[in-house]
Amino acid sequence: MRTITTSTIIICSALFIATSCGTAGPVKYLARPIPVNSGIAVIVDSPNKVKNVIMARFLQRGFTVKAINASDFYSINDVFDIRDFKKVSYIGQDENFLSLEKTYNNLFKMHYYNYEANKAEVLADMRNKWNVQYLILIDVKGVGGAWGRAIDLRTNDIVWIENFSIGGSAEKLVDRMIDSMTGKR
Amino acid sequence: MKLARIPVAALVLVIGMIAARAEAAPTMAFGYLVNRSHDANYDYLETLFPNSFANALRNIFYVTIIKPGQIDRELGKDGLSLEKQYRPHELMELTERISADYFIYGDFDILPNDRISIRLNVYGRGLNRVFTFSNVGAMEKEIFKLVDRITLIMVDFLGKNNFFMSGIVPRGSKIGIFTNLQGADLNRLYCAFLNAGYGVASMQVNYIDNNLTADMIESFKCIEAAGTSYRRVSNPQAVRFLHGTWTGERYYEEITYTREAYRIYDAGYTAARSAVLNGLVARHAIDMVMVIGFNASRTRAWVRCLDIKNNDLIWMQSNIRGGLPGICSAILARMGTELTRK
Repeated sequence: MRTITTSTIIICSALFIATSCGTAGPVKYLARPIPVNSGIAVIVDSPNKVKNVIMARFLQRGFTVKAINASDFYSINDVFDIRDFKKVSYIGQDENFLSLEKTYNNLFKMHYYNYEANKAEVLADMRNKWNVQYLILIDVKGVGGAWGRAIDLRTNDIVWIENFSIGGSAEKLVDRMIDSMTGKR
Repeated sequence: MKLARIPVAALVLVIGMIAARAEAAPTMAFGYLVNRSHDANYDYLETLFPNSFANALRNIFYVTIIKPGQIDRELGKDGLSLEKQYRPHELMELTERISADYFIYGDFDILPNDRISIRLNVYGRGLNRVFTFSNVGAMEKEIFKLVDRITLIMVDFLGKNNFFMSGIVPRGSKIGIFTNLQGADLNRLYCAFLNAGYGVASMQVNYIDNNLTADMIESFKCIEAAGTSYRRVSNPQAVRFLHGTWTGERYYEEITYTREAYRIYDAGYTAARSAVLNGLVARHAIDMVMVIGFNASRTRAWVRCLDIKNNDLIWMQSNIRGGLPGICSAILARMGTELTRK
């Protein structure tokens, strides 16, 4: 319990320092409140103990939290490290390099577009197979401060965005997020 | 002591030469505008247009002009002549031969109801890129207004902001944004668009990290489209995929892979691009793809906006300055405001 409290205090202090250095005004968008009984997948990139604190708050507030983890999401680098191609282009003759630069740029660009299309398919699977209606992404340790987003997987619409600049415990921070996305604040 | 003065004097001279070179006017060479109308009565416009553009540009832009006749005479010294059409990869050699920083060429066609369409290609030797755009006007009534309009488009593009805009992005449009921001910064950008009344596709925003860096997003700067486009030029004659029994299996695998990538992403790029964009649009129902690249310190940005429906690059701009909130405001103000140019 003490370890959890220590890590949450460290994270919250870090984010307080980080956000107090920020220059921006409030960042919030809410298209429509997320009903508290919705099926959600919470993606959060934090140590497991902090993850538990966050998931527990969502469960206690009445959400149906599906067992999906940030590590279930692959990154573009896991699939195909297209930066390797640049190395290959160096291996060719010197005069090839300038001519292949267009190929490299287009290949990179198209794979990036493709990656977004593939992610949309994975999210559709989440919605159809596991009845996840909202994808919620949370970061409580980012350099720019804590932030959250929610996407309605039925429509692929972004329904909630907010940046946070508060101190205090992780529980309070998550409560603030839940209040915001459900339209209570 | 005297010896010590020589390097100082040389240094001053070199600095002076560099400064003079930095301030030197760019040299712009104009090729022919090919008559696509199949009506020989309009052939005279093939040289009249480039000469008019050259004169108009010289009047409002600090530039050294080379007109088609001058290029032809210059090339004639080597037994060559100015061709009506060039393939993009031939322009590097041509511009080197005539010592031009830019080469501007294109074509025109006569449309129904006495209208004329002009398409121009602006090749920049430094970046080895071609900017292609077109404009339509009335043949008799506003031919010189059309020349002025196109000249202003060129002036905007050649300026430090590389600005081009053919239309606004209507509020309510759904935009697929690609950027190198992430986390709270990405939230700020998306929030600005959403609160301004634009639909934003949930791309990039659906993952914690964004692995696009300020360097990597540079790959998105060139946008090829059916209408206006900004393309990188490659030379198919310079690409070699040599191999033989001396190369070994590993080398053969690599060269085969490179050759296949070249076939798909350069020679056959139009088809590859259509397939990928169609897949993206099918999943996100976007009207526009907007690429917004930021420098590492988030104090400067550039934009490209592709109209998916019309397959047209409708906006590009560089050097948008300010903090992140200021850049967001500047982008939104620009994309929603019609240019007042007549």
